[in-house]
Amino acid sequence: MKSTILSALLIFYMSCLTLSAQNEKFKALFLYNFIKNVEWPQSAKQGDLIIGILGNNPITKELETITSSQKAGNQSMKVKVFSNVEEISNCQILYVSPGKGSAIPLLISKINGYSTLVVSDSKGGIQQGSGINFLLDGDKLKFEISKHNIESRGLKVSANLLNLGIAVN
Amino acid sequence: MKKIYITIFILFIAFSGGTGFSQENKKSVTEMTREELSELSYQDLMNLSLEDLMVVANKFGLSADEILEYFLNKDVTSASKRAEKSINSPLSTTVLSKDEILASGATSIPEALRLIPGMIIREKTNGNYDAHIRGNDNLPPKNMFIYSENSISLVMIDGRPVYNYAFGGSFWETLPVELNDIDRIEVIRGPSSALYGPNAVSGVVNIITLKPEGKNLKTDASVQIGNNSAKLANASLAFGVSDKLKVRLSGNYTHFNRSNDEFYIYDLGRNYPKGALDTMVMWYNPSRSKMKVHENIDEAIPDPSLSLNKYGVNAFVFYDVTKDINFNLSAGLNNSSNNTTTLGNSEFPIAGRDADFKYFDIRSKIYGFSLQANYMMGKQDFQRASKGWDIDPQIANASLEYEKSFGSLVIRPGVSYQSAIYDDTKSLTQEDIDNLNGFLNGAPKITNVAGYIRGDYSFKEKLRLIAALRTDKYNVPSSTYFTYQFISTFNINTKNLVRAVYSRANRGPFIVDSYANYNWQVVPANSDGMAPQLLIWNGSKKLDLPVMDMFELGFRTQPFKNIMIDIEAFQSKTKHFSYFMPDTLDVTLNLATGKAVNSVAHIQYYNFDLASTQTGLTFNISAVLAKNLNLKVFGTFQKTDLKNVYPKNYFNNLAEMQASIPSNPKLQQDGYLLTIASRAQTAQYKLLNGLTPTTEELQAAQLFQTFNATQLGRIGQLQSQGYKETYEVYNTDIENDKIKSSLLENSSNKATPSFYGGFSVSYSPTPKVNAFLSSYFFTSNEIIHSETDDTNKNGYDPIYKIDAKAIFSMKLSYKIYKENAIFINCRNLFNSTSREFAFMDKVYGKYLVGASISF
Repeated sequence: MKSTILSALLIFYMSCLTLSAQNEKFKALFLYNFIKNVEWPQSAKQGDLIIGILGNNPITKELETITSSQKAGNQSMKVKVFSNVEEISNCQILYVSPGKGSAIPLLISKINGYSTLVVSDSKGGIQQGSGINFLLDGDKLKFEISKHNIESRGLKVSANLLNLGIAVN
Repeated sequence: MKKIYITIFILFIAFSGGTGFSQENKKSVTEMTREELSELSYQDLMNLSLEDLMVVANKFGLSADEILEYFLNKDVTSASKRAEKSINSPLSTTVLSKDEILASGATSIPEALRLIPGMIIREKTNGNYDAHIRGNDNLPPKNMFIYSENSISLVMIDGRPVYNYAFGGSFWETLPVELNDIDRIEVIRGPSSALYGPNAVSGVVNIITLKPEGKNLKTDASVQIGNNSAKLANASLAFGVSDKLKVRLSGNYTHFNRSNDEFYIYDLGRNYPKGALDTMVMWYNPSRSKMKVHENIDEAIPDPSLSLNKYGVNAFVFYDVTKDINFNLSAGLNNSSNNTTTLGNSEFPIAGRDADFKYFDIRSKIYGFSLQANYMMGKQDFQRASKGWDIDPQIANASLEYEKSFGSLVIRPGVSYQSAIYDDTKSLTQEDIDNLNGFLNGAPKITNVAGYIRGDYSFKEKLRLIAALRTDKYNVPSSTYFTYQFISTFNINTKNLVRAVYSRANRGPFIVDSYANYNWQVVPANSDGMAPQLLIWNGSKKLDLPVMDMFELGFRTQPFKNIMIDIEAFQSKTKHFSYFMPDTLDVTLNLATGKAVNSVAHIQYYNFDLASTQTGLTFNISAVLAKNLNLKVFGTFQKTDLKNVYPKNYFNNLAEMQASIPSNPKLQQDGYLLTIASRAQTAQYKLLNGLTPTTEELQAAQLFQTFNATQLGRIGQLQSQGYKETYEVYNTDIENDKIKSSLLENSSNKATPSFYGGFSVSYSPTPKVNAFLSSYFFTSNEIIHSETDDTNKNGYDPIYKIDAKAIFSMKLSYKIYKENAIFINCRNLFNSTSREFAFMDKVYGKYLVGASISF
């Protein structure tokens, strides 16, 4: 009997390690769709489409799954993780992890001149300069969107995307 | 044990290797059902437009929080009478969802309860179970099976009590609904009669049935077949007549055979085929000739291989008039026959039971008012071919509650009425009734009028205080019982909650304890003339009802988003047990021969000073390890201390009373008078015939001359009666309607295992495949049954031991198309055959294959 209980607990603890964050799967799918609904200037359509991620986040794994099989138009997609603002290099889309929300004003100045869609995941992200900001309305995953913040970086955003998001200006 | 896990591991790996199957995705996501959405692959999701993706995310609620909420923090209504999240439930509550029940492969409602902490579930014969909440089994000990089965928990279907008021307990085979009808099962551990009414002493099992979701026609059906002639089938049809009026019709059928067709004979200590029961030689039969063990074995057990055969048909109508007004009506019938534990004394422990019930139940909400009324009637033969056990119930319940909020305070007062009539006259002839051959020989009724109020106060969403008070006025005993529950919860934060409960609950009265009026002619007749040939049973209308007091502390925490841990520590004290015991033995002696001519025992129900103190701790850990992998581990550690245990049973009482007959003062006086008269007569005869009387005879003759008129009158009376006289002996253990306290002992109750629990793992490697592995285990336990008492048998061990047992079960299902699946279902996977209930059958594995359709 003792061995049964111990084995059951062991299975339990081992299995805890396999935790996967379902929420991040959907955020990754949303990001992939944002790419489909945003048009970058010609200069940014060269080479690979880089998805930057600021901060360690399970979304990385999800995005790698998507980018391994999908393309953005003719461009292959690649995921690049930046652990701090200093490391940020040119990328078409930059996802700012919830824990890095306070760094948005700093990174906006850092990417000055890049055609980057900034997607944040923290309260007040748009006000700090991001183009799209994820939010949870109750248990529902939604996003805020600022046409101004996106287009000021030389990008064009589809009317469809604007309609689906909560407009914040 | 190692082997078991290797097997599981291999099975898991085998199924993990399965690849996803391409989806037909012609429908737009807005048209797809929740089930269809759940089948979308990652590739499908990547191909969706953002608009559709949002629909999926919102409609299916695929956000992690929703998934976690669904598995860890299900809605529960039982404890608060309003829907709320499990983490906030103020009582020790566990909710088992429809999905979990179906995935688990449980073959019946009591088997499904093995997935819930705090439940002790023992399989008696194939498919027949005994279910206890936290134990308190076999009280008082040294008793019949009735007292080993649970009679202190309340089972309800949608709030309608399904309880046996004849002598307590719930007969699972007599429930009209089956697992296919169930939306969820909510179990509350601990005394809760202030919230749910009498009999919710150790807890409540509330079975909540399904409500159709949409207007569209929906058909579900499932069949399973397996070893021991197992056949399980169910089907249901749900449709909406309009958006407001929905109907669901369902039917279920279950058949299990026993693993063998033999019967254990207590007195001979081993199993025999049915045919042998007609012609056995019993140890106590002085002529040692063959005799019938049962008077009518063919009627009692027509099919010795049958374990359970039952069916049920139900109709549910839901009419939502407006948001604030609705009516729900359910009606149905069920029929069952099974061979399982006897309830009374018998030469062998298995008896046939039959039931045939019809019911209706109406529930309505009109603004703040909730009304429920229901009626159940039918036939129930608790022990086939034994006179007195065929007792037909008519049960009616009605309640009205009103809910009103005053800011943070919610008040819910209510009133209820309950009536239970049990009628045995229909199965008896007038001669039987005149001779009191039935248990009741009439149609007695117990009624209960109750008033109650529940207050629920929340302070800044941190502190919650609940008080539930209830008074029940019964007709027998003619007294009022006051029960209460005081509950407080404190949210340390949204993920941690501590709670405390102090509550008192009482069991309701039983028909048999109150109204028994029964002459039991002992068949075959006792060969010892002193031993009773007739037992006269009488109920008592003044019994105190069993009461349980409990204090409980609980802690719930979600240390991680995907893990919920629930711990409860409890101590309960139960008292006022009642039980029957012989109080008088009338023995008629032939004083001329010194032999007993007849013997009649009077048996009455009494309260005992027995008190059971239970101390325990239950833990339940649920984890969502991934969207497709859920895990639960739970268990209860407990011990039960007994105070004031009466170490004898009624056989001992009868034996002691018989032994005390020679020292009966009236018999001694009569014996003295007759001896003197007889010797004096001899002296007179000898003198008249010229013989010499002995000194003794002469002394007697002198003494006889001193006898007064009363003494002479008594001798004359005995002569005229042919020297036959009846002498009453009393049970000297009873004093002022109670057992003498000097005879009582303290002990511990080992009938409840010191640890019991289980775990379950649900894993879906692909949306089409699900593997559900569950285990249930208990440590060794033992009961002292009246039939195993060593003082009246040939030295058998009075204690029946049940070994520790771990049962593993697994269901593997594969969805062929949409929700249509085929499956393999193994209950007791490793065929662990040890008995789970005293004297019952060995428990063998159930190996089933089946299919389910849903469209």
